Amino acid sequence: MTAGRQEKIRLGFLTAIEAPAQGFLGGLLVTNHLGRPLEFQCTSPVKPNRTQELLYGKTLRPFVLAELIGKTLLEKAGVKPQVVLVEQQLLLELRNHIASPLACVFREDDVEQESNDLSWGRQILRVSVDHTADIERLRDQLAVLPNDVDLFEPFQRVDQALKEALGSGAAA
Amino acid sequence: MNGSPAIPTDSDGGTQQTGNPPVMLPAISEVHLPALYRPQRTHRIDPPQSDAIPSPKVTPAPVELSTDLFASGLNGALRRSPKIDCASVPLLNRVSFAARWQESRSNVKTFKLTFPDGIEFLPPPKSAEEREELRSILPPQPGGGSQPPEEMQLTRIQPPDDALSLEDRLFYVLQPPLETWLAGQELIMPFEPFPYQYEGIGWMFSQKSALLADEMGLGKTMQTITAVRLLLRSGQVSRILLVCPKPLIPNWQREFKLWAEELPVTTLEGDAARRKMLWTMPGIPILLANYEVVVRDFETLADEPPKYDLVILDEAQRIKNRDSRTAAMIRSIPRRRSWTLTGTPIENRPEEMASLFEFMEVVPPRSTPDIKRLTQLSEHYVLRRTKDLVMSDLPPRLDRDAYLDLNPAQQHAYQTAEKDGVIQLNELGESISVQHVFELVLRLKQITNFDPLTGDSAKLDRLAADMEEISNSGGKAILFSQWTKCIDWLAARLERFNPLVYHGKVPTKKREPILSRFKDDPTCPLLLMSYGTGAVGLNLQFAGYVFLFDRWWNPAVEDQAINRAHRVGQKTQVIVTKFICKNTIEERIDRVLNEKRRLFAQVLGEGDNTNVSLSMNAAEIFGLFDLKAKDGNETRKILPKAG
Repeated sequence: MTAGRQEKIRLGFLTAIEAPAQGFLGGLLVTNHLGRPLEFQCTSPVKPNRTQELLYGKTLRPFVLAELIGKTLLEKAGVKPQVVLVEQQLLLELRNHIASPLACVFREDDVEQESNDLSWGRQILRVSVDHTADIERLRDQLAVLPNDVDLFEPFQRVDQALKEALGSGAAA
Repeated sequence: MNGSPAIPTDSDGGTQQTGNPPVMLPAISEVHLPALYRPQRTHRIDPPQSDAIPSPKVTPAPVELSTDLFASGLNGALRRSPKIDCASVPLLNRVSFAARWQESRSNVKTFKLTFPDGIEFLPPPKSAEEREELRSILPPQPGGGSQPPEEMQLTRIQPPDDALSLEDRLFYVLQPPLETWLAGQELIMPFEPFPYQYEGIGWMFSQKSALLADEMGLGKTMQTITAVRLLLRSGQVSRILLVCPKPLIPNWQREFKLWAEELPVTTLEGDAARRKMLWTMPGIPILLANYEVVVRDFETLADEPPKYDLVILDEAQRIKNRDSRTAAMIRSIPRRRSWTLTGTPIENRPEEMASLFEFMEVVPPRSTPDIKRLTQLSEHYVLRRTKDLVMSDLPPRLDRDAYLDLNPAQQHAYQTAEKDGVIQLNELGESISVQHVFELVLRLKQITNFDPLTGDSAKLDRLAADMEEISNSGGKAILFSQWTKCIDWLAARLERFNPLVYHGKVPTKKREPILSRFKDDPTCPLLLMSYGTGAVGLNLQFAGYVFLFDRWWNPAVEDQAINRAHRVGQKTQVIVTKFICKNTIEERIDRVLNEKRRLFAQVLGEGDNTNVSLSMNAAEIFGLFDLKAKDGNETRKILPKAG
């Protein structure tokens, strides 16, 4: 028996939900390579005002999700993830603000695999077009994961945790 | 200023705004205002000289004012001096904004939860070969076979009802599903748990106070060990005390070795000095102790009792009497979590549950919750499943109670025996014991099986009729009786069915061939067994019919007997026929046992059929007869002596 952690890699699962009245709420779950949680962090709800809605137009959601929520969560994380995984393509924009490789996870059946994509079990990892070199970094760092790993499952936990936080009002 | 338009003014010298016709100042005379009335400063705006700014077209303002008066001079208002102020107005040379907006990044607040360090028990596999040796465990699927990960039904750990803070709730919500946790990557499982076992493990993991009351055989031990494993692994607990009856210590040691070989389990044994050392030694994750030792040692450790993250009581009905020394001492153990395990949380009275709940710290000390409150508490803190509920793929068990009228000869023998027996018991008065009553009950039960004089038997008649049908359809039946004599008696009378006999008087060497023959020989459709020998440990799932020729004292034993046939592997429904003779002791016994079952179900929910402690107690055995002792001229009901 040995004490202490033996994480091979720290994975960050970042996602955000939108509550109609309260705005956007983001959560980051950092796990070890076996999916065991190491740290969780969520934001208070972020609600853009009318001026921001008008002036940002279509760029509002990427701005709020990536720059405001994603960047804040990663900056404040005590346990820094070595790889960040997202399930919303808009969050790929976040890669421009952080140093860690970041990929969006798709189900194999949901998208056509592109040349820069990385296939992982029954999932496809897609990186930002401006950071295609991330593919090789991801391939190296994710090598410790089993092939049948379900990369979507931790997002379900984050989603559930965000709903708990929203319901408790603690994040407000 | 000839040629200049006259400026109409009001009495204050301002621009006339009224609806009066403008005063036209005829050019009769031109009056030059004295210097007093002239503006002190005159402004002349000259065209700008600079070439840098394009020159606007500017019309010079008049620097002198002249006022024309009517010749009559009647209009006194015109005599007033006009007030004229002049101010300089700088020219705009740039555009200003009406509104201004500048991008500013909002300050987003965050909430953080850091998980505690768990304990690593086993190093991860080092090589690919080693990894392959670990079998990946998938939960059993209804259709059989494994399914793709996304279709797998996952058991998520739910936050307990009493977890109110967001931190507590998120701790559970963010744990991985049990199936992935136990999938052989981190924790090796020797067998694949059933879905209800995953549910039980998840429930226990999240409970600070828990009573696992699963039916015997559903794996309370395995669920407890696995939940303990996960708690240790996730850093929730680091020091556990498991208390069980002394004879069960080897069982727990064996089960820990099987289900969690990596967990170091220390058994509290040896002399007082060694035990004291074990109590106080740090770094013992799991300490296994029996009730007697815990009670004895905690008296000496009262000044500085060791503290535990989790205390587990196996066979927790040992503390049902809250005033007992055992219960009081066990309750005094400092702990953060309290789990109890028992298949029989209620043995006689629902109040016994209160003592368990007091240990679990879900009711205040000395409180006496009523049945309604106990039921509410059970919903939150008790998990009880029966085979009926969790093994849905097992073919159904159909119970048929066959109420039979005694044959005339039996009826006569029974009435005589009962009348004489009760008279004899009443005559015993205060010296009566439960043994006396018991003997009468046995005698009456034997008569309901068959009349010893004539051999008449309503049960035999019914059994023979049923066996004709079963035999003709190629079925197999097992019959249970309390008495070997009765079994032998039946075997002689059912020769045409070629019955096989299996009871305690059959030599051990001959028993296995008997079972093999019953299984393989189509000419042997009937196996006659005694409860004592045949009720436990046999797999007879190829038999579709079970007869309970007479009733056992305890439905748990009856169910054990029935479960020889109704068990995993059974392909068809199992028809269970219980023979009950009307207006006899059998009906009264049946009523008492059913009342106990009802009481149990009322508190703990539906379904218990192997409750080993539902046996009839002395008072209930006395209650089968209306026994009265003479006390002078009056009679008094006879009850068993206390204790």
